[in-house]
Amino acid sequence: MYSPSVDRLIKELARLPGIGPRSAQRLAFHILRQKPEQVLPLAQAIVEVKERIGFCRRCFNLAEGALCTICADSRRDGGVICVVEQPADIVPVERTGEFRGLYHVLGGALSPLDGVDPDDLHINELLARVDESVHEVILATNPTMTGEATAMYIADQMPARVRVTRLASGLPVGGDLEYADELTLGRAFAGRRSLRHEEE
Amino acid sequence: MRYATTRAVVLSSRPLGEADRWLTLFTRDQGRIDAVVKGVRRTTSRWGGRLEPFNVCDLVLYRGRTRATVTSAQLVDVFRHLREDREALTAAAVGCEAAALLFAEGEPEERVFALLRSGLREIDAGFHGPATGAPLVLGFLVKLLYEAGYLPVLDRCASCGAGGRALAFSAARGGLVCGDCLGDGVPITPEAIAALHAAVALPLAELRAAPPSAAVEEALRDLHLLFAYHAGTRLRALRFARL
Ligand SMILES: [Zn+2]
Ligand SMILES: [Zn+2]
Repeated sequence: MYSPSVDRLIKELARLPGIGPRSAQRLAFHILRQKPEQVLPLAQAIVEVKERIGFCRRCFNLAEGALCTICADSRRDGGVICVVEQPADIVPVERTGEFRGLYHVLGGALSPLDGVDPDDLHINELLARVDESVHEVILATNPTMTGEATAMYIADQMPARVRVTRLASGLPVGGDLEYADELTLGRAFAGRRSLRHEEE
Repeated sequence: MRYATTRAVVLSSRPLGEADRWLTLFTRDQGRIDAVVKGVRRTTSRWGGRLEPFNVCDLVLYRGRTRATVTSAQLVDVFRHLREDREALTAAAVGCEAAALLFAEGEPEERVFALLRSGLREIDAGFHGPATGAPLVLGFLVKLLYEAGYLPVLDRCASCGAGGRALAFSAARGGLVCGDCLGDGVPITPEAIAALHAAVALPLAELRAAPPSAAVEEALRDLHLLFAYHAGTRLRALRFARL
C-alpha cells in the first residue's frame, strides 16, 4: 500500500504482542515524522539487547553474560529458590523486598490445552539445581489452571527433605468480600491462617 | 441485540495483549464463540477466577463488529477437584479441546453444551487416572464425535458392510473393518473393540466407575486417529498425556 520499506516497518510492528494492524500503522507514521536522532536509539537498543542479552545459565532469567545479576550476587541466599513462569515475574517479587533467595524461570507453564509438557520447560534444570544446599523451593507460578498444574507437578518431583511452598492465593488487598468469586474465596478459606499463636 | 446473555463452558483461555485474554467458549444458546475478556490478567481485576478454563458461567456478551467481548460473568459450576489432579486436568482438556475443534463457531448445539458440562462434572467427581487409559475419557470423546456426526462404525465392516469379525480400525473409512478390507486399517484387539462399544453405550457416570486399562488406551489411540481425520489436527491434550 505504501512504499515497500514503510510496509515492512508496519508488518514488523504488527508482529509485536498487543499491536494490531491499525496501531502498527499509527506507530510507523509516528516514527516517520520523527527526526533520525529521536528514533535511531530505539533501533540501536533492539540490536544491542539481542546481541548482548541471553539467558542465565543457572536460573534462565535474562542475563548479560553467563549469570544474571541475581545469581551473580553473593549476598543472595542460595538455600531458597523461588520458581516463576517468566523473567518478567521476577520484577514484582524483587519489588516486595521480602525475598533474598535465588530464582528459577521455567519459561512458561504446563498446559494440557496447549500441549506444553514438562520437557518444554526448564523443570529438569530445576531438579538438578536442588541439591543439599537448598532447603526451600517456593512455587510462584500464576494462580491459573496452568500455573497450578505446574506447581503440583513440580511439588511431586521434589526430594522429601526440601520444604515446598506455594504463594498464598486469596483475596486481593483493598478488595471487597462481596465481589470475590467462589474459586478465589474457596482458596482464601483453604489457605486461612490463625491470628493467634498456635502450636504448629 | 448487541448484548446477549448465555450460559457457557470456558474451553480455553490464551493471553492477549497487555492484560486481556482470548477465550474459547461453548455457549448453550449459540455454540462455540470466541470472546475477549479485558483486564482479566491484572491481579486486581474484578473477574478473579471466574473465567478460568473448565468453569461454567452465566455471561453477558457484547457482539461487536469484529469480535465478542465478555462484559459480565457469574460462576455457575467450578470444578475444584479437577483442577487439583494432573490426570483429571488432562481428561478435561481432552473434552474441551475436542469440542473447540469439532464444532464451528455460532452453531447452536445445546446437547453438546450439556455433554461438556456433565463430562466435566463426572471428571470432577473423582477421576481414576491415567487419562490415556480411562474409560471416561474414551466415552467423553466418542460422545462428542457422535454429536459432531462422526460416530465410528462398530457393528459391521465400515468398508464392505459385512457383519463378520472386525480385525482393524480405519480412520479414513470411519470405523472397524473386516479381514477382506484391511487396507490402511490398524490392527485392533477384541478388548479394544469392547471398550469402544462400552464407551458408546454406557452413560458417563458408569464409565467413570470403570477401571483404566490397556484396552481403553488402545481404543483411545484409534479413536484419536478418527478425530484427527475429521478435525484435521491431533489433540494437544493427548500429546501432553503422551498417548
Ligand atoms: Zn540467574
Ligand atoms: Zn469389509
